[in-house]
Amino acid sequence: MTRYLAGRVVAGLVSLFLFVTAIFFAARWLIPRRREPGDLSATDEYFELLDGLVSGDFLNSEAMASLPWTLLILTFALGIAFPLGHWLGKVAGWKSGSAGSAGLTIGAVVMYTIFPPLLVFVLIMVVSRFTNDQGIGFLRTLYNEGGLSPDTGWSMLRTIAVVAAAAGLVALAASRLDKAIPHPVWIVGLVGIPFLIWMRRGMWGEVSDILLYLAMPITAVSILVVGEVLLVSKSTTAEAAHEDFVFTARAKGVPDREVRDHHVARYAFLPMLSKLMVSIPFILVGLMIVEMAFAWPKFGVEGGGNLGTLGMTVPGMSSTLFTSLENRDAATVVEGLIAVGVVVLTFRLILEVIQAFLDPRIRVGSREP
Amino acid sequence: MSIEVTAAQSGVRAHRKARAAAWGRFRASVPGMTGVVVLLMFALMALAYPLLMNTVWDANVYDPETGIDMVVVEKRYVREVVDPETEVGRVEAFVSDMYAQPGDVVTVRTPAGIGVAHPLSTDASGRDVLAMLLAGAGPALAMALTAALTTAFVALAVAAVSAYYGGWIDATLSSISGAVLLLPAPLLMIILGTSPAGEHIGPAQFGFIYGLLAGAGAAAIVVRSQAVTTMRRPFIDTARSSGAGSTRIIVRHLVPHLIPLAAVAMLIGVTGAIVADAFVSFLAYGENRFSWGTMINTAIRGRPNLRTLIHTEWHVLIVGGVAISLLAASFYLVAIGLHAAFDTPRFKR
Repeated sequence: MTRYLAGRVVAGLVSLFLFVTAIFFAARWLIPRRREPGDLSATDEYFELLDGLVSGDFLNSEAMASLPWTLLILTFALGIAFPLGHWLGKVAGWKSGSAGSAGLTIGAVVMYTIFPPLLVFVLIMVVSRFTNDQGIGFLRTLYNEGGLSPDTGWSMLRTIAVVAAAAGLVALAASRLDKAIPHPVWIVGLVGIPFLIWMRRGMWGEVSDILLYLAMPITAVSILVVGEVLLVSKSTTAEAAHEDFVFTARAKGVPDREVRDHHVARYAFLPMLSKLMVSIPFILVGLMIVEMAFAWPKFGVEGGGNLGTLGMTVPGMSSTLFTSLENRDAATVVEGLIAVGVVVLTFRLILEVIQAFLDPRIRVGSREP
Repeated sequence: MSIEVTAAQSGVRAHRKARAAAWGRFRASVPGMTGVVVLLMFALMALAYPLLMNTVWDANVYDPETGIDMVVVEKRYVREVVDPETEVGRVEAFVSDMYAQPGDVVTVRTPAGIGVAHPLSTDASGRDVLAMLLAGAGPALAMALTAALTTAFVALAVAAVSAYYGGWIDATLSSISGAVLLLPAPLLMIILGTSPAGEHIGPAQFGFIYGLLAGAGAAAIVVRSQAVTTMRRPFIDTARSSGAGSTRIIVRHLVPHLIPLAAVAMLIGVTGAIVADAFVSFLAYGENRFSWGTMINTAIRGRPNLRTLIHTEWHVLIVGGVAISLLAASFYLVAIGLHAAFDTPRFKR
């Protein structure tokens, strides 16, 4: 198990190195700029970048300052969409072929393939019904009053990470002791404990401002992700429903619902996890497109320089990335892309750890490569 | 000799039978057939555009970028526009008559709007929305098909070579795939499309570059794991012991088993290509060519608030956005159909 995980970390680092190298030279080639006498040569700049990555100076870069917002949206959206999509997919896959299942599938395909700016437009239209057709500009006052500080964002992420890790340990202990913790307890614990911590630390005002401000992007990304998780969960559940152990369980007289939840859903969870591992980067792209669509880039009042009352700025990764792209600032573009790569790699490793804990074939090391 | 021939013939017959069964299962799959029908509809639209432009449609009226169809109507100039059908505000009134006073009736040029000539109405500058919809179908389909074929080809090549040779070749190709996967292909395409080089990238080139990235990344990883399992199956050893060379084993024995999975991976990957391509034109970087993303852009550009957008061009935005989403959905639906045709639990065991 330790060896497997160490191998995955090393493979990830090798990929990251290749990725950084390719990105650096591609960006220099794609974003040409005038050379000035004091400039470093390409190789010197490259080694400086690697040095910054190894020594941790990278953490102080501009790209990292915009990271908490993107990560918060991603974490909350995955936290909402993953359980919801898994549950809906389980229901749809179990009754595969029924009208309800077909309806859920169509809905999921729509949610998964909708053009993100269109989804954002529809969401803004819906919210606008309650704001007298004035869009969601009112949210910007939160932003302008300085309610969003990156430090608070990082602190929220740390709390979530600690609570999630603790939940993982509790789950592990529970499975060793052969005790099942009911789902409602999980949900209340995972949602309630972070909020309790934030309240006790006196962060509630800032946290609620941030959550209100990010609520729309989180909703949009959740909708995109729910569709995908639902489709994957549905197909793995429908396939698992034909396995022999399902017939055995039924023959023993296990209630239908229990067969679905305890036999099929658990079995179908692993292939779902490995399929979703590949789609994390694509979820991140969808998220960045949503971020940009909310700002309605370039569509402000001409010359006025503001965004009008249509949208709002999401100060996430995409704004850093595309602002630097417009300014032909190759160094920041590279930093932003590396940040994307690191996020993808981190999520992949987290999923791999979960997979290794859940799948005994990985734990004993006999899994196919 | 005769025994060999019959064995070969029965093999061919079994293949044909399996293929016919798979096609039957595809036809029985409602999502798959829906996807095919929608794709055919888009293909018809792409074909109809040049036909209509060359025969019935006047380029001065129907060109998606420069065509104009305005009509002159009389409207009342008021301070507060309540009903935009019969009333105009200060700016529009002054265009027609500089000395107009509130309450006067002025003649203004307005878009022709919905009618027999314009089934999907016109946008604020009098351009036909149906013509825009048809004009965007060709480039989008060309991009999607190039992306699909390139993805499948690259994924098959990388996966088959990786699984057949193993060892350091496999390790190298796998780390490259891992690195490519760190940078999502749609994001890189958006960056490429918005960079100075992006202006020269046409739909087919866009699809090709996307295919290279998606094929070497996500699709290669998915297909490779299938290829590794296929390499362990007895018929590969049989082929090897009967003297087949590496090329023959890869092309004739390994690749045919990977094609269904590669097809599914490619169709799902194309969804990302369509979104990325549309998003680049939505950001108005690829302004030298017209596409569905451009429609959304022109609808939103310069609207100071939501109310003006709702009263003017929301239908252009909806038509463009729905076309993009529907094209992406149709590829995904075909992928579901293929999955049902080739990957049913009954036939896996």
